[in-house]
Amino acid sequence: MVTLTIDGTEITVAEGTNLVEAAATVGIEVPTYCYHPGLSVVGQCRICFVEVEGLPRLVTACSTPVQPEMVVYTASDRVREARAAVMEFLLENHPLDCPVCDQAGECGLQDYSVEHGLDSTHMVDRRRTYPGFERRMIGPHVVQNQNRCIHCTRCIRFTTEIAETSDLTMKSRGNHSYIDTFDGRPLDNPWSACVADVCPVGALTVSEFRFRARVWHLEETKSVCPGCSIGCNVFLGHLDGKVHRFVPRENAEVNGWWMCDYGRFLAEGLNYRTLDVPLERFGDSDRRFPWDAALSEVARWLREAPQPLVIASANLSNEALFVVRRNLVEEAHMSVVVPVYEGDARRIKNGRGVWIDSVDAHPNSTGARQLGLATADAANLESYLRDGSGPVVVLDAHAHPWLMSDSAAEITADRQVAVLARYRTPLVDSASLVLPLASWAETEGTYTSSTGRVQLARRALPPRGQARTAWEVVYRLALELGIEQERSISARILFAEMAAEVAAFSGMTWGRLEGDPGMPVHVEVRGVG
Amino acid sequence: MPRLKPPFPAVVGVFGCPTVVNNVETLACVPHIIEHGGAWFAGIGTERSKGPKLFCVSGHVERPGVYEAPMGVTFREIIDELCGGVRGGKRLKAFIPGGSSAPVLPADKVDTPADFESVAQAGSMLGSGGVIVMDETVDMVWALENLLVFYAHESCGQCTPCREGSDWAVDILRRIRRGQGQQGDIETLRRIGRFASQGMTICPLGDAFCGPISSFLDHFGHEFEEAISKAPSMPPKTLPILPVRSDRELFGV
Repeated sequence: MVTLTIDGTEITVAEGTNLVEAAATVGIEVPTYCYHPGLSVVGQCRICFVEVEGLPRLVTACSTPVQPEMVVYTASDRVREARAAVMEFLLENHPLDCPVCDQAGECGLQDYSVEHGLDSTHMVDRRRTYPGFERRMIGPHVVQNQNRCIHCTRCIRFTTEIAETSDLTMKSRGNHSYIDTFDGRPLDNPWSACVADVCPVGALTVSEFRFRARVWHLEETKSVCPGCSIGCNVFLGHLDGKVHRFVPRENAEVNGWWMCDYGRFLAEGLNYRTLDVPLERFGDSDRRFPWDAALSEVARWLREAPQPLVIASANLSNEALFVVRRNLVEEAHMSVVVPVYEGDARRIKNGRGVWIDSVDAHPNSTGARQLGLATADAANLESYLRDGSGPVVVLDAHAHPWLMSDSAAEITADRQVAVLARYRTPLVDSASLVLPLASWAETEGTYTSSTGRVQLARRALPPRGQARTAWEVVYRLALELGIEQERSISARILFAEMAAEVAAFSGMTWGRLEGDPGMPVHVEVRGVG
Repeated sequence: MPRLKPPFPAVVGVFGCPTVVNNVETLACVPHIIEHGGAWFAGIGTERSKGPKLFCVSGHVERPGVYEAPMGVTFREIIDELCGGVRGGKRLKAFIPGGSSAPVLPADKVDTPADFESVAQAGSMLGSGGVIVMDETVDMVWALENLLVFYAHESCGQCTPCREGSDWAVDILRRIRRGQGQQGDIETLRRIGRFASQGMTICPLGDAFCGPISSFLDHFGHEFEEAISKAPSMPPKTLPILPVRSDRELFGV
């Protein structure tokens, strides 16, 4: 540990910490452009100058490690003057097209020119431009506007150090150097949109989100990516009831500062919903049906039929699966199966530079296994359905590709089927009862990642129409069945009950999940499943 | 590309190994010192700057070329005796004593001895010993522009002050030479000179182009002012009022 003084405050930080991070521990923000905690340090934007007592020249905070007894000033006159000059240099050739720039609102130049820049410029000459580079798709997801670039090389370092694909490179030199893809090939690595996240200005933007919303209007909810079992932490950006984007949220243990393109572009899909009221089969078509009647109808089936089958989902939260386990498995002794499947291989580098791999396409199959629910692949699922004849309750019609196929509808054609769904699938079209299911953005809950980390995804939006979350539906069903009692209930209460009952979650509290970057499940049960 | 230091090349250099970087001139002295001994070598030159020095003289002299002379020889001796004087018998206007990145010195400093201390005292540096001689016909705005075009081209583009500053300075000087100089230009050039040097950049290229900017303005600022004053005054920045064509009376109060 090293003790030093920053702006009159004495602090003690670990050896090797740089001055940017050290200042941040006492809430002093040193401006940075080229510095990124997840990337190597190059010290070339020169905005992070600080004054160190005893040194004749200003030093860049990002490249200076703490030394014992160091006395640092981050806002002395010399520092402010130098920063203002660097800001002027950076803005000298910047097009200043903020009104039509999609980065506006989360732009490093805007933020720091207010705080550190001059209120005018000495620039009267023509600005440097890169004709033909103003709106260029450099990959499937990323749009480049080289005119706005400040040459911080964060994007290049991202593709070299994190993606390890080296797609981007700096071409030419001096004031006319520009970012281009290496060898003219497109920037199409699986994490390509992260270059737009690391870009501090509007030079690289994500084509899918471009001009959808001004970022200062967006509400950002802390959530987790539903794409696979890795469980990357995200901010879910939404506006007026519509999900607009995912951006990675820092979590050194899981996804570092990154996320893959597949997960990122699931965000738009969360808005897709064609079902928002319960429906009852009516001849060849269907008709609206009240929730309460629908639930008592399902409860009646379950009471009367000998062998009901409940198909849960590894996309549901731990709380929903816990309600299923407690009420349907332990109390009602129903057979419950969780369909799982292996999707495409996904990987992400965590904050320590270690790859995390996953082929598990579900955000919570680990949680399902730890709760002791039986998992099944497509073949198993098919034989379960073929062997039985009782009613079927599907808690998530979109849990498995096979469930969305025609064969799932054919096998269950002559049975009583209740399906929770967001949009129509063959199974929904043939089901006796269709119940609207809340989407990921409309559900609050915890999910256990493949690395055994329980993470909290907050609810961003109220469920649209009459949609309900899965845990609520199962709880109300249990009420109808007489298993549960009417009581105050929420995901948070269920989590507390789960923590008391299930070993994997013991000792965890909702409150700590809100603050911590997720909590690891207990070591002795981590191997289960 | 220059990289962040430390670690310095002497610790981590080529192929990740400790590396010594030396001039050929330095290495060329080694065999002579071995052959004749240190005392012989120290006998040449001045008390603090010992040994001979190669002067690569270019510009407006009769016989440009590389000359070896003991340290402490004056620039007048180099120009008049070794190189045969200023070309065409013209008057000397200025000279750059140590390569294009060294601050320029006016003609009245020509009696400065060419050793490290005296040149530093005169406000420049001996550097590589590349002497550039300029006679009275030289337009100093053009000369500075010519130097800076080189530095703007050489800037690698990493550090903001050097990348942006070198090109900006070229733009300003070109504009002044086109006869479109503006009142704030000298101030802006000085500002670039101040904030792209003195450790504001990773490598010394920032200092290299700022030295000429500041010294040209210090010694020959009047030429820049003259060039700017010749410029036609800029049109006013307020918007012109368009003539309104209308049959009706406007704003009839």
